[in-house]
Amino acid sequence: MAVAKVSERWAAMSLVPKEEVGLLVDGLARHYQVIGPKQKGKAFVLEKLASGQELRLDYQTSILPPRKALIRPRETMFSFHDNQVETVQDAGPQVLFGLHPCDVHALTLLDQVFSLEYEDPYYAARRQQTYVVALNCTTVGENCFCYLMGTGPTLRDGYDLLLTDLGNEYLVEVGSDAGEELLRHLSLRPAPRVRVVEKEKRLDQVRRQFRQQMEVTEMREVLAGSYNHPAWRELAKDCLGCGNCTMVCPTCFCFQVKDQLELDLNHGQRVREWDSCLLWDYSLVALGHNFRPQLETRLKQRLYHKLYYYEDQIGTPGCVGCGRCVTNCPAGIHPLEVVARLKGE
Amino acid sequence: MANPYQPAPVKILAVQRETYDTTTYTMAFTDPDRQAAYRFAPGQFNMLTVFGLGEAPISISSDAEDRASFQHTIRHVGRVTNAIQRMGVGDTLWVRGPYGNGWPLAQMEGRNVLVVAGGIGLAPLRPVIYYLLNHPEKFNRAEILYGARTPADMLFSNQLLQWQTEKVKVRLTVDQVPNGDAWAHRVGVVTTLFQEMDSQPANTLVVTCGPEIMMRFVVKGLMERGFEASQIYVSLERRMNCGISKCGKCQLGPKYVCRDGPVFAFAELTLLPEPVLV
Amino acid sequence: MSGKPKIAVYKLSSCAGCQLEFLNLEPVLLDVVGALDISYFVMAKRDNAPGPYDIGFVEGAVTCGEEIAKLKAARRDCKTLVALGSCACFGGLPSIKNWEPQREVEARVYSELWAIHSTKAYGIDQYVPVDAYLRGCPIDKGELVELIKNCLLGAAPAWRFPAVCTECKIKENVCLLIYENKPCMGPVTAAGCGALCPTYGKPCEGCRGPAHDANAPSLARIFGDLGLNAADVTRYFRKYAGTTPAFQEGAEAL
Repeated sequence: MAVAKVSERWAAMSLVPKEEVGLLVDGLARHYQVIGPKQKGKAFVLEKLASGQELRLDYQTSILPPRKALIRPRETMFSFHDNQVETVQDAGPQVLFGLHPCDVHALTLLDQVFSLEYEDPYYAARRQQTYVVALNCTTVGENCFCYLMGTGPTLRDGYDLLLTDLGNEYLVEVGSDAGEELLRHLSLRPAPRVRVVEKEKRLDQVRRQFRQQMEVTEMREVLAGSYNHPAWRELAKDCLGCGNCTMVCPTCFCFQVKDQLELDLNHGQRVREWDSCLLWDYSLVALGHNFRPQLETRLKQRLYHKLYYYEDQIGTPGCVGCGRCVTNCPAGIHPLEVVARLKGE
Repeated sequence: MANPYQPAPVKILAVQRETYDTTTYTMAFTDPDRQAAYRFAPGQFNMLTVFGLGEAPISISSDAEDRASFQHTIRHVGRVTNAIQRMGVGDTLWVRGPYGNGWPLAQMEGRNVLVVAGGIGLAPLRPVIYYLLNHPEKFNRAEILYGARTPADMLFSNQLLQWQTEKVKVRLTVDQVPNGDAWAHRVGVVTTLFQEMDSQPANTLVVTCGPEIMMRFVVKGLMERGFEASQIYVSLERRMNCGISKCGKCQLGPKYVCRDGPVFAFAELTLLPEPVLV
Repeated sequence: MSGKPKIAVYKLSSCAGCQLEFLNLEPVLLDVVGALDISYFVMAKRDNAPGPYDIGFVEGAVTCGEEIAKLKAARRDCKTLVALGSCACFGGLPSIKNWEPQREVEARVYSELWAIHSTKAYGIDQYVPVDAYLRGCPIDKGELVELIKNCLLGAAPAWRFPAVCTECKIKENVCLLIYENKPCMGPVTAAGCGALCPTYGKPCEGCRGPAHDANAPSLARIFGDLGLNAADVTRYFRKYAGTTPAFQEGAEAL
């Protein structure tokens, strides 16, 4: 389990020359499935890396967030036939390589969602075998607002290993026993103290690149009194209800469950698929009543969940500022701009 | 690790037709140990599976103290519930549960209880009624108001008047009486019974379940009569795919209806940004 | 349904591409044939039995009086009637002619106009009640099999029609609208095709008609921002499903 507890014995740091970082992937790939950023057209995706040469640590963000490695867009829960049921589990050891701090934060949120009260056995089995090799951000993407949400651009915990770009090489820090275990598969040279100082200097520079538009606490206050604000109706005229924002969101977790039956009408699978509160029939019940029939109410549900309800549910906002919803919204809806509009700016 | 999503087989022991589209099924887990260990609180629900068609959340409608079996009163309106309609005694269903919270039975101690039910909404309230009948010492007085569309739509029609005791009053109404039907009770929506009910706001706890629109008028009507939001408990229906606060569908503000509900004090719902029953 | 359900496949104004998908079911074709009694399917077999049938699949738009009569007979003969493909669902490609005077359109194609008595092109539910719809140009084979299974189970299919975007994102396609500035109908078009066209780098053309609660006017404005003029935008929304209220709104938005 990749819960990081930084203690002194992990204070040792190592260095990897940039041209050798692919070798880390290759070294780990002998023992684990390694999932990391690679290029796809003009964008990047987190996918199984066939070799370290595919790794692109210069990526800003991926299309889908890393949650896809823990709860798949579509997965079989169990199979059934002739009144027999068999749970299907496909978890195996995997390394999520090169995750940005926002995405690591998102995983720690999902860890809570999927374990509160009832533990989701599929998520838990995969998570237990998931190692996180995180990557501090040394550049700021166009739509990034992690600094505002307190989830980046640097990481304090939640990782097994943490990389920081120092120019010609990566600084490698260990964040857990599991991280040490990963390191045993690799041979790295220790980092001299000056390089560690340089890390802090670089990260400070990155932090200064963010514009502090508003405080997280303020967002909550604004939303608390804005449910009936007329701006929502205007926003709903633009919102396409396409669900892109939720599909790409690293902290969204909703799924729908359905049965898939073979033509023999006997063998089948119970499967689950990612769902989205933006979709018209998300809140539809058997007798035909729809609790959120208007796009406006669904748009509100998404933003209130991320910026308001999530905090009541697990103690932190459900938005990690990764900016994916902004990038992927054809209508250009930006959560921060929405809040600003509600505030009357 | 036990898989909380995996249901267990249940055998249908009896089938009781209630109305043209609603049936009560008596069932028990085929594993006798599982059945012996099975407990539910009035107001809770199970997830019912018909393999190949899916799963549906259905409230439990039987006496919680009956340990040999449990009952679901099912309106056949969806894929799963329509398939159940084609089943009979001896057929196997798959069930997991119980889920959610229950009605506030402990708070009824020493108080008056007003039960307001509409249509199929009487099903999740019947376990409360059994509780009141089994434990007359646990409350002061009770009144049951039940409304349905027509006399033929009344659930548990052979039981309704038998629930009347010295401490329990039953009042019935229907929206309309089709020509020729015999009907000795009120005609009108369930809130018309407010005019004749004995219940007063003082020291009374209200439990209500029915269609969303009905509960909205029940809450409104009661508050106009001086009842407080904190006295009124409602059971909400929302889309549920998991029953265990994972699939997200039933979220209402920060609450999951499957976990924090389906029974809510109306007072807590009024605090949510998203309007509920108003 | 006792015994194997009897199936009929009818053709109105169409290219027969949706019927062909029936035959293209190869991996499961024999299972399908085993589960059904294919009684009437002119394109696939020589001996065709008269009705009644359990399930009728009607392909094509209704574009003339003779087809209305044929359709009504099909409705009488079939317990369950399915619109097979976008033409039968909402007019499909033939419906692009609906916004021009009928005689002008006819004159563009036919020389001997005295023999032509066409109507505007509509989906079959303009004339008869329809029990189920298989959208797409052509239909999706997976949905066809799903519908057959549901008929065998006696259940209504549990279909949802969110935007094609939902499937496109799951495939992690690089968004054509956002990264390539290409007019893609995905955000307002019903999913179910697996985002087939965008997966191959081609913008969605909206062949499956509107997604549930689609916001077509917003997409029309986005197309306008990409540099399309109002007439172009109108053509995008009328290519397959201009007869549907949602796409009509999109067509008239700019």
